[in-house]
Amino acid sequence: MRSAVRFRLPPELEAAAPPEARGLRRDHVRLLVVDRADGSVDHHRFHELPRLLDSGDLLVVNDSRTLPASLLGRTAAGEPVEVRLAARDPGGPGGADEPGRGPEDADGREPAGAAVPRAERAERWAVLVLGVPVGHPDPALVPTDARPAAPVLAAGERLEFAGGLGATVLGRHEEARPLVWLTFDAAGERLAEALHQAGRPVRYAYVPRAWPLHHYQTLFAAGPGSAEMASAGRPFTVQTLADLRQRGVGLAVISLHAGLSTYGDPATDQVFVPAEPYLVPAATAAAVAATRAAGGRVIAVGTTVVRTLETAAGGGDGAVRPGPGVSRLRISPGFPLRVVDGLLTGLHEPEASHLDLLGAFLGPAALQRAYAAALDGGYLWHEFGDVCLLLPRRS
Amino acid sequence: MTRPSGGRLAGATALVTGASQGLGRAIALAYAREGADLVLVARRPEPLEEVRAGAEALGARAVAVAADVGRPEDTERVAAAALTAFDRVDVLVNNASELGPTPMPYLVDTDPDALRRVLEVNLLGPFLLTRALLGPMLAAGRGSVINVSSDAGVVGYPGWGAYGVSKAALDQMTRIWASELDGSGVRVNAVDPGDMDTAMHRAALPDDDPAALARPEDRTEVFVRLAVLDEDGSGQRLEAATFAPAQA
Repeated sequence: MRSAVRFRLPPELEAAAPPEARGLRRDHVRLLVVDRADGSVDHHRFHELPRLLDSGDLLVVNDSRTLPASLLGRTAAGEPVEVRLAARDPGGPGGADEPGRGPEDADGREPAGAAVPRAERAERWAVLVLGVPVGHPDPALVPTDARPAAPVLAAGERLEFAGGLGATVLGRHEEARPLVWLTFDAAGERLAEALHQAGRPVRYAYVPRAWPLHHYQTLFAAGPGSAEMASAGRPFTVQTLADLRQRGVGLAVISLHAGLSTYGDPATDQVFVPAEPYLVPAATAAAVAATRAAGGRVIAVGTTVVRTLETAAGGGDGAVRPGPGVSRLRISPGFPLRVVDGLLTGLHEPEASHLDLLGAFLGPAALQRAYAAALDGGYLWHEFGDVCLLLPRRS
Repeated sequence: MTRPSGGRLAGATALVTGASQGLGRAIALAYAREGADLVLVARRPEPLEEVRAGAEALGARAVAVAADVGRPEDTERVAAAALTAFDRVDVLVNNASELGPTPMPYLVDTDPDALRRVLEVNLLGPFLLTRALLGPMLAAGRGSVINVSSDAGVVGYPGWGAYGVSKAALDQMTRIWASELDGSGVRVNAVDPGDMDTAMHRAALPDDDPAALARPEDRTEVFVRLAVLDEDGSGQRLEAATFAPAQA
């Protein structure tokens, strides 16, 4: 079932620059608070969040760090390409399914006896390959679905990126037509270093200038892996955390590396649900259980956190299981949420699958009303924009 | 090699800048002896690799990242490499330091670009790395940041203009970090290591007798104590010479 929300996003409501560059403190972006019961709204600033929550509530944030996932490079024949990292293969080396990363490693550390450093293992990445418009000063300004056709890349084809980073194409992605699998010549921390020398943050046409990577990091940024920022956490500051502590609101983390928001192909965007590795630390599973037992609300910061917690709660008893896992959960209207009560999230485009997920929190009429209020109120969309809190009334 | 068991830093991960020589090298090896995992950062890869191998020989897991902490574009690369290798960094030692031109000129003769470079390495570098690594520490509710200071930041020694200004500013940044992070579980402290027989000391004061100076290895105890995660105390400025070396 598709989201019932339909609207046209006027260009002036697309956040074109980080709030800090718009003269705002990070935590002074706007906060639309939507009552899950009836879709009624209140207008706030993000720094007021702590007093909108109650002692005993729990915020769960995603601590994934954003990669500079856009790499400009060339094929062996010299054709320019842009490669956007979508996801590391969760079944491959270094992924969540890797032997030895069982629940006993639920705090996210490698087992102490790990024999092979990560840098020496090959990694398989699903990537989106785009053509690069010839002579255009900034390819990022040409929308993903308006790019020249990418060269057809056969298995074994070599790609070269800035700083000497090379990669080999392994073949077409089995499920998502625009994606291919490739493996880089480096892995682990050496690959992380090489990507930071060769890549830039993925940027879409509504952001006219390039911003350094740190603008694409949330305060919580830990291990890198997201192709795009887990942006719902972006407004949090050290002051927010202090105010939340004082209020008695808990904070817990999960890790899920967010993928690309578009594959430049509407058909793929609509149906493809990538397998996303996640990690739920034992402390987070315990905090969720304790919060629910005490009647507090579990509030996900970002749709990635909803997918992680609801996947980890997919067992028979509905309890969140700690440890690593892989989510292929598509949440849409009618999905029975088992552990997440509230959601802090950005404002999403009409065609975004995120809007489907919001339909699990709000009925279609309420969602329509909330988005109408955001449009009328001049809220800003996308990763540098304002945020929205879908909150159930305290029972 | 077997891993040290029961070291005071067993289970912790520490990132040390300027780790290829002098005090940074001594801190890195002391941490390795105490059971920490290490991310070692310095500009020159070859001497850094030697320290990394030395730390591994002591049983630590260690990765080396060649980077210039004075370059903002290097910060995210260092953080990403560290957090790819180890998932978290509990202890950050901002030790990398730039003395400035030698023989050391008076302020009136200090090139503005040299002053800028000293401030980039000694002040901006610690700021950027702390910012990049702070989040996971906050989420975990614990972490320790240690900034290497100098008495040149307190006393107005002639000829120590650029360096002294940078260390005075770093001391003040330490106090402000500490007060802003009060109650978060993340501690930020400064350490004045005192005079030691290091390349920097030789460059600054070539006439001093090395035999009369402390060895960097004898000044690491305070760094170990500040790195222990269940210690408290933040916003302090400690003098390394007042902490007796741990008994071997």
